[in-house]
Amino acid sequence: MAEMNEATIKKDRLRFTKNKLSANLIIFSIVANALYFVDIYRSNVGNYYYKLLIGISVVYNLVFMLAAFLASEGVKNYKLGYCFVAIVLGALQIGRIFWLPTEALNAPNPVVGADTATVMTGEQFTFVTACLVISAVLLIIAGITGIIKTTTLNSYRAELEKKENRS
Amino acid sequence: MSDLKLQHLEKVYDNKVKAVYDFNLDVKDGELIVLVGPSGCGKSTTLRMVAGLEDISSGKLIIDGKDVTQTAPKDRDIAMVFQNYALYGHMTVYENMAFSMMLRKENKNVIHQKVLAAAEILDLTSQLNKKPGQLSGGQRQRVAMGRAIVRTPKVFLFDEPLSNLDAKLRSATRREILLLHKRLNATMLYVTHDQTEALTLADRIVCMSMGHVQQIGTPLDLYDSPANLFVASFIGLPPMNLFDVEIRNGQAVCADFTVDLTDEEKERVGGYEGKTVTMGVRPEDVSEGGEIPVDVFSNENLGYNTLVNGNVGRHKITCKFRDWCTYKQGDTVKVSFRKKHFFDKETTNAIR
Repeated sequence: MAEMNEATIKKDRLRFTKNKLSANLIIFSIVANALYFVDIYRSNVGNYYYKLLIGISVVYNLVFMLAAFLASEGVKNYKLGYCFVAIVLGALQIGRIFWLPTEALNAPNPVVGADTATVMTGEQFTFVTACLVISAVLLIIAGITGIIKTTTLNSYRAELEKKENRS
Repeated sequence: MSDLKLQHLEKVYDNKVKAVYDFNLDVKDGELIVLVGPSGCGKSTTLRMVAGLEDISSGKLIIDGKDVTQTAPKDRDIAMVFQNYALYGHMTVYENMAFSMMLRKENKNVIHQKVLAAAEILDLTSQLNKKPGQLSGGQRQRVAMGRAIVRTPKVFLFDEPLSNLDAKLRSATRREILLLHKRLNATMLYVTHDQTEALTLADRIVCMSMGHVQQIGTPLDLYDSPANLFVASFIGLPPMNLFDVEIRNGQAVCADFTVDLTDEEKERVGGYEGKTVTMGVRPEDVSEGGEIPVDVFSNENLGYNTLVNGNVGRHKITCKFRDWCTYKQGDTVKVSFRKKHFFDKETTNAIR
């Protein structure tokens, strides 16, 4: 076996190990997203959420979880496309803060009374926003880590191929 | 690598069944010892005691000068290769080989280098990303060996590692183990019931029966000078032909034939004049041409050799002739015996 320096060993290891870091980060982002929607759907605020938007929200959550899981598997196997999927999903999670939670924060509560409370309390808003932000950050970090590792691996493989062709 | 000493090792199970009796063995550094014997003779139990998978009932186990009789298996610095490979099916070959070092939290770069080096030795480099389910039996066994190699243990233990392989693969993997031993110069303890493995691999063989060590020696010792009737009949394929004969006036006499003894043989059995002893003749020591008539009942051509099975009176005999023979059932072939072994009828020990 040819002698390798530390940096080369690190690159060479990528050939035989999966990108578990990125994959696990994405799984945790799914968990954070689950905490977000459980907290929203358990709210007892009369029929405020009984509209088309909540249907879309449920469908989006299902699509998100499926896409994130696929991205996790793709990133684990150094598929560059899935790294970008993870980043896009992360950006969309940030966007979601300004959709249901912000709207609910400013909407009058139909059960308690419009004058006294809003649909979403400040405390709940903070929690769900934190869930979405954590989910987004994990996805973006996973995506960026994936891109770095995948490009490193691809260029290392190309380098090895070149060497092989030369010899 | 290290030397290994087994001193008066015994194994008694809770139900008072004694599996191993007073086992003594000194394994030198870099030696490959094969424990051979029929099923239930205590060879695997002995190996498991060395590995720490079975408690040692009495006696001492010393590795590299250190008494490890009571030491936990993980602290004995021993690697074991099992018959059923014991690989993790959900892990790749690379992960399987690296797993033990990862558990010990070794440096990942060091692990990587060790795994690559072992894979190169075992010709597994192109299989590192595959899972065990995608590999052949021989490759899986090599992965199991690789997992042992990467740990650079003091002693390697092999528990019938080739038993699950077909005949062709077994012989190829056997050669690989031999090369591996030469390359690593490792101390190895190898258990098998296959005498061909024992004879081809071992520096020394320990032949066991019913928990007792029958003989310890080089393959040639066991083949050429078996210590007793058990070793004589166990080592060698086909097994040795055995006849009860009476020693009379420099001849071995039995009801069906009489054989003249050489001066050396006469000297050996001199003390048995008028007594009955067991005479053993290996099939390869039976030659065509002579005075002893064999009634042929089967002729098995093996290419270079022919095995002829027949009867000498009431005795069954197997002859291994170095030609392509075409005897038919009912033919009579006259044979003579070259080297003869003699065993005491009562003690079954060899007469030397």
